[in-house]
Amino acid sequence: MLYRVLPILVLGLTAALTAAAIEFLPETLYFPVVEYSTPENVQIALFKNGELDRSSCEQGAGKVAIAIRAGCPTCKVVERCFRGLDAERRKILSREPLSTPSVRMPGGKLTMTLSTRDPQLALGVCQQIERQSASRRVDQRLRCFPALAAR
Amino acid sequence: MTNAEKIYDAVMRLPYVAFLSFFLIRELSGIRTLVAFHPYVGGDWSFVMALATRVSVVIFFSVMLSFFISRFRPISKYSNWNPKITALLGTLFTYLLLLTPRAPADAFWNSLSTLLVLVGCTTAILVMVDLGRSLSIMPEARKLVTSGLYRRIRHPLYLAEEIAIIGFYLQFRSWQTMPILVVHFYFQIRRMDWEESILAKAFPAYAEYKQRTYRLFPRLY
Repeated sequence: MLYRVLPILVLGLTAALTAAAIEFLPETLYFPVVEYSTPENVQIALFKNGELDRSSCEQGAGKVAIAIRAGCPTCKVVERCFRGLDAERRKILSREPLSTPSVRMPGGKLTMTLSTRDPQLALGVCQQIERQSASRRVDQRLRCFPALAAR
Repeated sequence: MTNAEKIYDAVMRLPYVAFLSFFLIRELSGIRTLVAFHPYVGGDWSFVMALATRVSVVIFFSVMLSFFISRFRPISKYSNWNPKITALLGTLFTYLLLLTPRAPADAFWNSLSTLLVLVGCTTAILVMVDLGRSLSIMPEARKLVTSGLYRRIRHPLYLAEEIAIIGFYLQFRSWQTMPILVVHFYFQIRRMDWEESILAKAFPAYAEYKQRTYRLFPRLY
């Protein structure tokens, strides 16, 4: 009896703990988000993967904000750290299609969403970001995804 | 058992319990870091398997830790250091693997690794059911067990451990870490020699048991 039940129990425990880690561990992590608006009035939100503690998160968000300010002195930049992922941020970091154009780094290390009243303008900025990253290493390149496109 | 003996036995368990706890906590922290870098999860099978692999390692460590904490006291053991050092190296050497960087996530290798670690873990639990609380790191005689998985092979716990360790190795998959595995196997074989020798001394029935059983693999070895 034990010889039959135990393998199923161990397998079930592994599956349950893996599912629990996926579902609940993000709630213990900190996620940096940097939002800025360009002079053309495109709102860009930049989402990075999680950090284990708040200070690392703030440090990471701060570095990104400094880089953005250096490249765009007139942009309004706000950096923040969120504990855990709500449904919206989880969707942005996932591969699900979004209602706005978005930019994604391979492996989901970095995701950007672009919104503006003119959808063509947002898409244009998105494609421009992709072109600008073309000279980077393959795993550092950014790819633009139009609104509602599979990512 | 006197109070002094109980305290001595508890103290002697502490180093290995601390050692194993360190790696257990390290693996748990590793899982958190892994999730931090992959919070998007959905549909990423390779990531799910990488996570399941780490979870299986945590389960294996937890099982080994609980076995070790609840074991019996030995009735016979070696007084010289050679078998003790062999046993320690056989057990601890493989943990060096966990201090080296893991190979990039790969669904196939991680699935195979999870499978082997879980097979090793399940077999270890079944062995412990047969063995009662006679687990030891050093070659020591506690009780002669010849039933269950011990009916056909003399070292099913080693077999379980080695299956799991090959599973661990698949998470690293490098030529640089291969010597760790080879040296570990060498010390484990030496450890079996010492263990068989002390069991033969402690239990007269062991000679007959050894005659009719294989060491690790029925009909092979």
